[in-house]
Amino acid sequence: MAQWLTPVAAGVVVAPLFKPVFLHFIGRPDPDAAGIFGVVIRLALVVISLFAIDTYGALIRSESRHVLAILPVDPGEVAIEELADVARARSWVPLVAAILLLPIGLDGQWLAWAGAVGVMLGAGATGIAVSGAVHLLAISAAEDPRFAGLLDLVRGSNPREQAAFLWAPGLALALAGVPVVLATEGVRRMALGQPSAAVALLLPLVAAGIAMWRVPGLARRGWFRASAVLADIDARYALVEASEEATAAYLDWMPRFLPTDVARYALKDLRHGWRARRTWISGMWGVGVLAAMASWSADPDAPGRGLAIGILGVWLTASVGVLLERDEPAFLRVWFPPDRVKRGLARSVVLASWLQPAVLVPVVAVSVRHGFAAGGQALALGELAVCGAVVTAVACTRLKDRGVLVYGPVAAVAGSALAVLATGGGL
Amino acid sequence: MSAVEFVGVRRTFGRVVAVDRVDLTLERGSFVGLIGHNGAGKSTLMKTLIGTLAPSEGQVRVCGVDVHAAPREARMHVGAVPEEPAVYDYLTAREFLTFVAGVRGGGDVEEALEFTGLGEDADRLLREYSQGMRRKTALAAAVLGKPDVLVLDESLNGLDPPSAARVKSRLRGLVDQGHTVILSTHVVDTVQAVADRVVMLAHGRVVADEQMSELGDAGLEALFLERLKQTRDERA
Repeated sequence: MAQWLTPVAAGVVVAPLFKPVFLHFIGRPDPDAAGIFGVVIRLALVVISLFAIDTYGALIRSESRHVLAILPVDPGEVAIEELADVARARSWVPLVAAILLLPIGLDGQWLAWAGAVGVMLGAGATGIAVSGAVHLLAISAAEDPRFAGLLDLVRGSNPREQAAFLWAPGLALALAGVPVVLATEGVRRMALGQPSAAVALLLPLVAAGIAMWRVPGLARRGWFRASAVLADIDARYALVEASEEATAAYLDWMPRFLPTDVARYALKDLRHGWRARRTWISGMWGVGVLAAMASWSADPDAPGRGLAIGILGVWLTASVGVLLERDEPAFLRVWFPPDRVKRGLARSVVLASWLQPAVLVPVVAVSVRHGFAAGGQALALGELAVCGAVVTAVACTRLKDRGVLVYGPVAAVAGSALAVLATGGGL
Repeated sequence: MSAVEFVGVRRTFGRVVAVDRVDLTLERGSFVGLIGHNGAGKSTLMKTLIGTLAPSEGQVRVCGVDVHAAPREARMHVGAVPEEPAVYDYLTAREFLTFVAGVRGGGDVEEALEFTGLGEDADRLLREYSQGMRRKTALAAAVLGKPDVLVLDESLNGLDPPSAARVKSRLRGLVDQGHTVILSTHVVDTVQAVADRVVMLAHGRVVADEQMSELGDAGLEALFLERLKQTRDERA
């Protein structure tokens, strides 16, 4: 019960901000059904993605693996128990989704709201079960020479075996997405006054049942072998890291344009951030592409929605600035005290550089689809978000370990307010 | 049937050859010391035996069971203490051992606690344990149910002298009952004190495989240094 408290409280706080951004169709004269379909399917896909990633952590990279992998455990039972654990830990997700979607019910569409909640439950169940089966299949695919060519094509700079695990959540999303899309279509029909369409809500549960039935067998075939595959992957990563050493970092050319005293701190932050929070930093390009996709529409509201995604990404990722400070051992601060002004300046420049893709990529999309005037407005609002997030993050680093506690709520409020401004500001 | 067989085992990490075509057969009721310099491939070989690493080539069998083809069945025969033992921090030692006994389908928890001398601290949470005590817990878990083969990777390092002496004597007792113990370490004295047979690895290859009773007066350390020098000269 305690694990529900924080997410549910956060859901209640965010709900009023969620409505103008994602439920803007409510109250309009045109039918709500298409809008309901759009928001429910997006939220359901987020739920599946969340569970797909959690399931990878539970089945493949769990802490328990270190203990259990040398014991004669039944991998089928382990897999079922790990998946049940994910379900327990994330049991708040459908509840929070129900809270966020509540305005649909309050608009008089209670049947559609109940259907939407049903889709969220189905998305959770199918997300866990299908992801579980796919991750276990990925172990075999990682070792199977028949997949070697395909995995080499999609592995990027990762070891071949890791490519199987990297793409597994995507495959899980595609497979689990099919019954969830059909169930969401059922909700759309329910919103149009066809209550019999509720039967479609059962489809994700059926898919989950079939996948869960296959999980024990797949686990018995692959769960133990995953330890050996992971050891291989980690060894290969270690070789790559050793060869690239710790000197190469994203944007490490940038400090040469800064004064020497500031550049020293900037290079340190660039390297530290790239080593410790690489996914967040490179994820800004993903946020940028997502925001651009949302903006790429003739709908006059599209630029605002796209920019809102970018702004939320900016405020979320600027927390890396605070985390860099928290990572630093206390004794270093005492023995090698930094020049606060120069370090703050360097960190601001580094953070602002990391955050740019989330703003610039959608600005390009807006400029192409809606003209340079709209692009200019988007750029101004996006850079305002970057400045606000950077200044807040750098100010919070002064608070050392407590910085995260202060930054989180400030970012949630300021980021949401700017996102609302973007969607309602006529962009 | 042999307790452990390594058949042409080779393990590479990219261009690095960690273990190079190792052929070894360990008989039941033997205490084998595996020694080698740092980076010789001892831990890699031990990991292929406990199944957490697959050989790039070759086969590893425990009591006739292929460790990688039949992982669960092989683990029924093996109790292992890896180089960095993992335990559940939020359990007490007694709870953890009870859990492991359940997984193994039996085993005397009190006897295992007594084996390592953990009795007095058995009801403390494992997260409060020192590194040495965690190692003792992992060792107690490994001997639960008295598996046919006990694999100890640097497991006596970090134990205080009385505990180390106690564990060595208990391990000797298990060997006398027909169990096989393979102890990997870079501490020559430990092997000299307990093992019947010593296998030396250097740069991934077996450079010596001797019965302790057949070692000359010069002893193990001299043999180790001589073979190591010989291997380095060959490589140079």
